[in-house]
Amino acid sequence: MIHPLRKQRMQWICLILISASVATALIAYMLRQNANFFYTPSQIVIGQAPLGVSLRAGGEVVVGSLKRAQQSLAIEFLVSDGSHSVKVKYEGILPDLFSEGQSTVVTGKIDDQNTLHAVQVLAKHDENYTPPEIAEMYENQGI
Amino acid sequence: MIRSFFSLKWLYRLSSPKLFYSISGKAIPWLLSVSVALLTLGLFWGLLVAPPDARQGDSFRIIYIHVPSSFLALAGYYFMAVAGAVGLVWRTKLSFWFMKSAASIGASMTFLALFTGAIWGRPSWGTYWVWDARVTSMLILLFLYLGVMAMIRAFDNKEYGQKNGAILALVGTVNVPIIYKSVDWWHTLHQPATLKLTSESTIHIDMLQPLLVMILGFYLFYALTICLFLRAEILYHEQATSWVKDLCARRQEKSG
Amino acid sequence: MRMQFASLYELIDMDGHGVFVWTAVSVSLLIFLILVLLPILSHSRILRNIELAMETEARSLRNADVKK
Repeated sequence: MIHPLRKQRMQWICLILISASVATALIAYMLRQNANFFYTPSQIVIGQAPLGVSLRAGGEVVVGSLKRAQQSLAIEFLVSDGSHSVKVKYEGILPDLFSEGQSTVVTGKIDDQNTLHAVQVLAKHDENYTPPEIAEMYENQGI
Repeated sequence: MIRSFFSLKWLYRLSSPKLFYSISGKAIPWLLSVSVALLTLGLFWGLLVAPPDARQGDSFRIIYIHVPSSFLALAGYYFMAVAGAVGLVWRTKLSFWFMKSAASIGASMTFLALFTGAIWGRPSWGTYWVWDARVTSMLILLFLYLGVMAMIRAFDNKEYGQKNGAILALVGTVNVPIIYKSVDWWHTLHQPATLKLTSESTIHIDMLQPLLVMILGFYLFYALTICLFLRAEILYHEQATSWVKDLCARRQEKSG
Repeated sequence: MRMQFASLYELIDMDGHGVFVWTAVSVSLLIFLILVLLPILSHSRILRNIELAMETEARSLRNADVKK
């Protein structure tokens, strides 16, 4: 049988673990929105995102929406989460992985036309890793 | 036989510093050669033979260090916390020294995970650093490790420091599932997990094989460094005991 | 097994990503080296200290015997 003193110490350890978990769960609950790295286009369209302050929006760059200026680095494109989309204007260097049909996270301010004036554009990639030949094969099959 | 296994007497015997010192001394050459062989094979395979990623090209190869070091950073935290809890309950000296060793090694692994993540972030995301939930909770893990390391050393009374370190390690365990689930619970820039326990991994088999070799290599390397750190710790704390003096006397006889 | 890189230059360059990959690899190797060397060095330092202390003790014991 386990020694009563050790049993008591084990109970203390359980108490430490439980109270730390409860405290963390409460903090996480409090931060549940603030801990998000970006707003979805739907949240912005519905009006859940604040206007005129710097924030991030994330989603997929809509295929065919990317327009580049002739003379400068200025671009504009639509970011969508499937149900809503937000127009983004940006002037600057894009990450290598930025392209239409891929995910992105942009930082900037939203004006009253729901256009986001971005100061930074990041590329978000997914958790899939595929050799080029296999990816090509999928593409040809239309998957 | 089975009963004696479950009575944990064998574990209790292994917690004798003298016995652990001699067993680990024999294990070190094996751990060193196998882990170096696996890491060499994994790096060669992953960096030179595995195909590049269709989207990320060759920058994806950082995965072969980033993922194994992240695994050990998280698993190592549990090893450290469990050792601390065992020390608190059974007051075995060896478990506190294990905790101290695991704290240093875990902090190194966490740093490595953060560093390789930053290096990988530049070509893939377009930035070295973001304050998203995954990256930030990983940074918190580094500070928890450093906090445990500092706590163990902060008191003149060593036993007091060890107990406080163990309590901090236990409190910090709540961060580990948060790191793991952060990519599912919140919108993050970091992608969700590639290797999954319950469903199929989302990485091609040709890229997966070297990754598994690297993960195994990292685990064995972790065991190796635990043995190395723990032996130094044992020798330091047990220097007044007769078995250490016998050991030194025998060494002196051998060297003449 | 087929190599992905035709030449050493291609291997180092990695389509422009070589800087990132090789930095990550070399820093990792450095940390691994430190993780192995640090405990080995402190282990041998502690051993030396113990042996020094034993020698001093033995010498003082001998001196005490001589005085008697």
